[in-house]
Amino acid sequence: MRSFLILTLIAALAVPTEARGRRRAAASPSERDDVSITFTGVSGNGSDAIVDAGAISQKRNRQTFGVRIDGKASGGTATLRASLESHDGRSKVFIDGIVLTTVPKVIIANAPLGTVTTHTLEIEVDPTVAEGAFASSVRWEATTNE
Amino acid sequence: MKKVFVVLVVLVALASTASADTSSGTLTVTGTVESSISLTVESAGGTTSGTGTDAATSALGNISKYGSAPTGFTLARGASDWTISSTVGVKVNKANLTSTDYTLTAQLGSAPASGVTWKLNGSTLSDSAATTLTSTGTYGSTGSYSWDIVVADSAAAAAIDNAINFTATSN
Repeated sequence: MRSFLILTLIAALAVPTEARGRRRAAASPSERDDVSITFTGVSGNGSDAIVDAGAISQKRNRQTFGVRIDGKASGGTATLRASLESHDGRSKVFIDGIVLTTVPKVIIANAPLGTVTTHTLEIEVDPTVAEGAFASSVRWEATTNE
Repeated sequence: MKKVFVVLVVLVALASTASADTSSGTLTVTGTVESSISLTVESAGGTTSGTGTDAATSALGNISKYGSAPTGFTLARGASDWTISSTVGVKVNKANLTSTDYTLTAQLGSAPASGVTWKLNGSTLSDSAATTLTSTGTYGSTGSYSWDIVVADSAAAAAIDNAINFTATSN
């Protein structure tokens, strides 16, 4: 009985180590990921996508796109956050009306896994900004809700 | 003691399964800012609609030499003609542009009725060529331009409908 309990304890203690390994951020989905992000309605593949707003002269340029979060657990939900990974300061980027900063903000708290949710990307350019190219990189992070 | 130990194992196991999974992605946003200007008609004589936009309308109703002046106009009677006078306010805004001023022109949308003359800033307008109202317009402020419609006594009683097309060009 004592041996059984010791083995049980060892097995139980081994689980958190594996769980910490699964709780990782990945730049792109792989076979090891338990959850992944896929963009739809924009250029690029999978979790790395590009939106080229082209030449804009309006104060706000708007376009919609989709995000699908896939996970092993069916019927689950995930929290989707977005933040500015890199930014040239020449524009403001809004997702669903939320202005992005370097601090991740919740875009959707309970995104159903396996379902595409539609979001609106808005780019706001101040009239005082000089002509020329601009670029921002938005980091998205999906965390499954347990 | 054994019972306590077993309970501890169960708690550790439950805690380990409560961890969330996380993944990330990147959406790169690119584009090019282009300079632009906008023109709006801020005010005009008559019963107006659409002021503050680039397509305003002014209705004068029925006008006559010996009648009343239309809303927002004054009426002056001459020996052989009569003139109704008002002003038109035009505002030009700029964005992402280093230009400091602009040139504003006006042109009639169609030939004026016979015996009817349209003037802005004292200059007679035509439908064939643009008339310069200013070449040093200030962005962001409303420029006021005198607007006169001169009707000859000999002109036929008929509609005088027309359009004034404004064009702003950054200098």
